[in-house]
Amino acid sequence: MWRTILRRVLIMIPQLFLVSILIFMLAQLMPGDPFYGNLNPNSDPATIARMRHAAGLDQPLYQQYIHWIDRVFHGDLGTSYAVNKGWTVTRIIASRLWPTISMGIIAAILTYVFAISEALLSARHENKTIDRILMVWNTITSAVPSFVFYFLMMILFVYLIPIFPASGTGIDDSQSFTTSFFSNLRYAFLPAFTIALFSTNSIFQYLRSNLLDQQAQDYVRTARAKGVTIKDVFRKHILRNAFLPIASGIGYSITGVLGGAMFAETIFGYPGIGALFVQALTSRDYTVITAVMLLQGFLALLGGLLSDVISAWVDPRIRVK
Amino acid sequence: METKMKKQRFGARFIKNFWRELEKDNLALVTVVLLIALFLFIVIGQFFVPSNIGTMSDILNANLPPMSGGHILGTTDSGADFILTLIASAKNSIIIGFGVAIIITVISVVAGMIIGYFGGWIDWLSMRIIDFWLIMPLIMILAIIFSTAKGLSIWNLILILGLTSWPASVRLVRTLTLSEVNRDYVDAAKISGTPWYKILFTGIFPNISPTIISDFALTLATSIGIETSLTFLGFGLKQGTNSIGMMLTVLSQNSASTIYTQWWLWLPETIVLIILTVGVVILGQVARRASDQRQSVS
Repeated sequence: MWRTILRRVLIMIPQLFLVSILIFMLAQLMPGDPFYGNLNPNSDPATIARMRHAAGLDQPLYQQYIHWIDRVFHGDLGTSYAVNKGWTVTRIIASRLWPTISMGIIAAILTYVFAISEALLSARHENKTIDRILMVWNTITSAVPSFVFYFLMMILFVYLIPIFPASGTGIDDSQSFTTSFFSNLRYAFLPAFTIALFSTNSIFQYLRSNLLDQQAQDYVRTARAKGVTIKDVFRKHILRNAFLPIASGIGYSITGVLGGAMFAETIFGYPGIGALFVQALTSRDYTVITAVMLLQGFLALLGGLLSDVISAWVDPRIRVK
Repeated sequence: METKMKKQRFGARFIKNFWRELEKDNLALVTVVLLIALFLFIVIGQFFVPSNIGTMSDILNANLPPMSGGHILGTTDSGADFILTLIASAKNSIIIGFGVAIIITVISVVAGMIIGYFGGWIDWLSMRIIDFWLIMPLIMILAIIFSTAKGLSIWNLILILGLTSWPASVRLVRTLTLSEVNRDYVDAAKISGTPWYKILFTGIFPNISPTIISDFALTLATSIGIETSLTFLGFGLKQGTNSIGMMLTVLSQNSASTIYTQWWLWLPETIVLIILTVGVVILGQVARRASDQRQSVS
């Protein structure tokens, strides 16, 4: 088991390297350089050249990359020049991190709760009305871009039935930690609930077909023939076998959190990392964009690692390989 | 001669199966009818759309409410007729969806079958690349690429989407190919000296095509969704190009009370978007069931 984990962690090193190269290339794609917006247009070209030289921008790409990665490892991600002008990027991200984490965790838990209950209902009543409705519901929510639903939910629960606050995070540093925490939950709940409600499709489809597969297995028929109630067969055998593959998806669900948060946070006015990314893109604040991408890349690799470890843990057959 | 007969039989059987599937499934029938109606509406509506609809600005007639000034659903903020703008936008969505789906399906069928057929180090290397690319946040990478381009034309957008979003489909085709490669008919073909590309395209491809059809439909709907979402955030098509995403920006530009009272600003394009994406996905599912021999025999 430990050897599997160790080997998997070792694979992460070249992957991290690849991610950093990818992000560096994306950063190169963006027009302008770190002086963008800070330069006096009347500066003479020689001064600009000197500044560019001091920042190492006239060096070949691979050297720039080495400098950049060196600074990243020392925790220096640069300074924002648009979103929060003058703040270091680390400070901006730190201030935005908690809202996204709280929302992401609630959303992940609710997604699994919704998807699992939907799949159980569907599989227990295969081809009945409730199964049909759930299948259609999941087809619709997966086909239509989710930001449309986010708007409908916002109009519904913020404007028509105003039970949730309109925008903000509810975090107040002057308050005690617990007060701030619970007030944040009130703000995080609606976006998290909305994300969860409309992103059940992949877990639902997967679990439903797993459950149907397991139901058709011989051991289920044997148990039923012995006189075990369908409820008990479900609880003791089918669920356990069908849930194994789902467990490994938990890690991968981290991968999509920021991408989904982009839309949810922007629409619900909930200033987390996703909204920060959109703001930074709109105002072309490249140091912030690069930093968010680094964070996301790291999270994605971590999620992949988590998934592989979980699946090796719950399913011994994978470990042998 | 014989193969030609077979093909005709297959085509006829597909249409027969398709109708049978639709008869069994009322909801699919309704969606397909709605989708066809929408298509006809867009195709016929094309002839009434002025060519400058994306760039016109007629401030005197801007933002008219429905049923005024001869405009059934009113006008947009640039003064163009709302329905005609919607037609032009939906047409662009369909072009983007088909364009991206064609690129991705061609890439995935060719690459996926070759990867699955030859295996070995080709498989190992491509799967590492695909797994890596699959955990990357594609929507964020696309947002960066689109925003640096400062507004894209439809064709550039199709190209970028097509060349970045293939990994999931390639992996799917590879998995499908792997399940066929060890069958007896492939062995028989190999022994009789059939070249590999012939085995792939005349042997394996027809057997895995049902799933590819539904994947094509899914890719089509997803691409429309990605374009609409990113254009909505402001990182997609350039100004002046009609797009449902661009039309939906009214949602973020107005207050909740305006959105609630002035439903005509966003409801029509939302309905068109829903019919388009859901309809295409359901059509793909029906087509897969209709062309899957093993299911239709039983």
